[in-house]
Amino acid sequence: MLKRSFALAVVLVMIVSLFAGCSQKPAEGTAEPIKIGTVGPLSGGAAMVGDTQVKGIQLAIDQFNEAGGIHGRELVLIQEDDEQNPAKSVSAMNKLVHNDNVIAVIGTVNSSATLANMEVTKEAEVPQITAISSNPKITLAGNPWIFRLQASDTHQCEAIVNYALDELGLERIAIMYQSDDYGTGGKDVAVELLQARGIEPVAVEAYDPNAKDMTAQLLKVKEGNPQALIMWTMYQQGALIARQARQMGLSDVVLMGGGGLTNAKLYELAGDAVVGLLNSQTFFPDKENASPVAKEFIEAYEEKFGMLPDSNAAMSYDSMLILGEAMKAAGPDLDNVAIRDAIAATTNFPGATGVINIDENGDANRDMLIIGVTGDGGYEVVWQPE
Amino acid sequence: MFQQQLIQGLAIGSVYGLIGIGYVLIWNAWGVLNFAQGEIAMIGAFSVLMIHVWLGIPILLAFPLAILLSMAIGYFIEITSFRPLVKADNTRKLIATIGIGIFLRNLYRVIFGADPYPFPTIFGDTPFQVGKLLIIPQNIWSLAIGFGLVVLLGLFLKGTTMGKSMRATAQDREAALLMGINVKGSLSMTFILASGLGAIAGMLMAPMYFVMADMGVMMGPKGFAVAVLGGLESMTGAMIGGIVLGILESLGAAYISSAYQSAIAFFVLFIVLVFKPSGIMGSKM
Repeated sequence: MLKRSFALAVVLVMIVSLFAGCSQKPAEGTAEPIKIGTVGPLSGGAAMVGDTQVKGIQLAIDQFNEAGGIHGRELVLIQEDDEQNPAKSVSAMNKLVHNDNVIAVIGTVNSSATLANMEVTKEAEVPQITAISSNPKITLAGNPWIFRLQASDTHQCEAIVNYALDELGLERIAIMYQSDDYGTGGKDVAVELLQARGIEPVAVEAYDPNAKDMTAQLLKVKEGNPQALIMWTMYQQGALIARQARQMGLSDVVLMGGGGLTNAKLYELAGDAVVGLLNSQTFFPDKENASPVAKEFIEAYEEKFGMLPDSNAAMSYDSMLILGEAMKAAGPDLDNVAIRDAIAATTNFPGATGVINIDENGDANRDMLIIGVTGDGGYEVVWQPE
Repeated sequence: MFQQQLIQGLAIGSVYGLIGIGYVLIWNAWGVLNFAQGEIAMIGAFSVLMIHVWLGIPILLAFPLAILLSMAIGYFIEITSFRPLVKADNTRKLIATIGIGIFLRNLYRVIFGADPYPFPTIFGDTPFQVGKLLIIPQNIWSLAIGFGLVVLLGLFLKGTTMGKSMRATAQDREAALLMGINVKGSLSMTFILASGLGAIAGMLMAPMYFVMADMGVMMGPKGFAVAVLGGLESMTGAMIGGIVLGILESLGAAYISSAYQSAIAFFVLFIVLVFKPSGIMGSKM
């Protein structure tokens, strides 16, 4: 008996609180919240990256809301999972744009998925920023509604080539790349940049994206006697190349590459072979040497989530900051064209990932960091813009 | 340069050969190519990773344990997936092996994640110099174990009752059954042996190429190619086919173009199928 009346009481309390919740909301905020959408891999192999993207965006949204929202309205984030799958990404985007009627979208991670889902926002004329996808095609498609905060492969490659030539003064450079869109794109940019500076690479070698044995390629690289080896690849194969290069006696060659190499797994897999490896990166959580904006971001992120942010979190955070400022500039009716034009007009914006300018394609331009693997398997900033 | 490329080709080729032998064993007994052979090697690599690296059991004990574990998994796959198909036509069996391969790869990816795991060197990866040539101890071991297994398997198949019944089953299943040979047992034994072989290949690959759920994707088709090169029925042929393919890949990358390294391998396979369909060591066709 006692049990039953207790249960009844609990149910009553729940019902009352439910009504209380309903009646409170309209009384508190008179304006409807502004809905921002995000698409990302929240499950599957890249779920970590999707999670980081949400965290970066959420931090920026919380900061806007603490400062009184935008045009007096609160910001809310609606998340959709695309599992890195282009087809699912399109459905997710359709839901955000047509069911939730979001003002703008940030996402997604995988380049192929972004290339697919950006057609939805283009059709519906909703501004979209991809924080993480790096494929150059995204911003070269002539779509005025898509912007990118990630450094495209072209910019990443420029940064590392310029560092090799200008800061290290190297002349004999070999290139290795995986024979897919990512690797070939990076290789083309590297060869072009080197030739523009009057340098012919001593070897340009390809390998299958599934390949494990790189010794045939490395022996050819060795024949060219390079000072540096630029590899356009992800960290798994980067680790294989590094290990096999050291075995083949390429011990003094500086290993270099793009952001795809940055991963704690790289050192775990290849050990000492990757110590000193250099790659370009948009962001690195180094509080001591960070710019004031970056330092503030690192501290706020650490406090909120209990971990250090990575470059993906920082780029997602910057995406939301730029979107927020654009919404402020667009005026209280949040006209889609006005928001788009305000994002496109972004100049000298001080973000966590540096001073950002959006170029005519919609790409973020900034001076990138060069980071290197340290003896204990961590990373350190080797070079940063003044 | 030429000789060094030759040595590297020999090393990777011996691993291809080991996977190829697995194809040959099952082809002989079952009349179907087992396209899950690359995944069997992946299972072997993960088994030794779990037993040696995660449980900390010394390598000399971990090796046989990992082989036994892989054999048990191979047996389980045989009774659950292949035995129900004994009477099915060969196309369905073939498709079943492809399905099992995809299933195993994704099962391991779900359990262990998509990232590769590092694996400690067992045989030593510090190269030593002979004249101007660099030789990595691991590569010598791959080669020795590869040919050693061919000899041992040959002895087993020709010298033991179990081996003889396996060969009899392979030659004529009906007749073997009439002679009172345990056909079911012989087929199971074949799958168990092939799984053990795959596991050894996986364990030889692990220290060089890390351990990951996708490792069979690259090794499976290469093993198939070398089995065909060798004539599908001969284990020695598969081993030699592996070495031929390994050397061709090395030299192809060095003297033709590294962008076409994989294409070269399959081009050679194509040429062999056109001009000598019975393979290098094949007798009948």
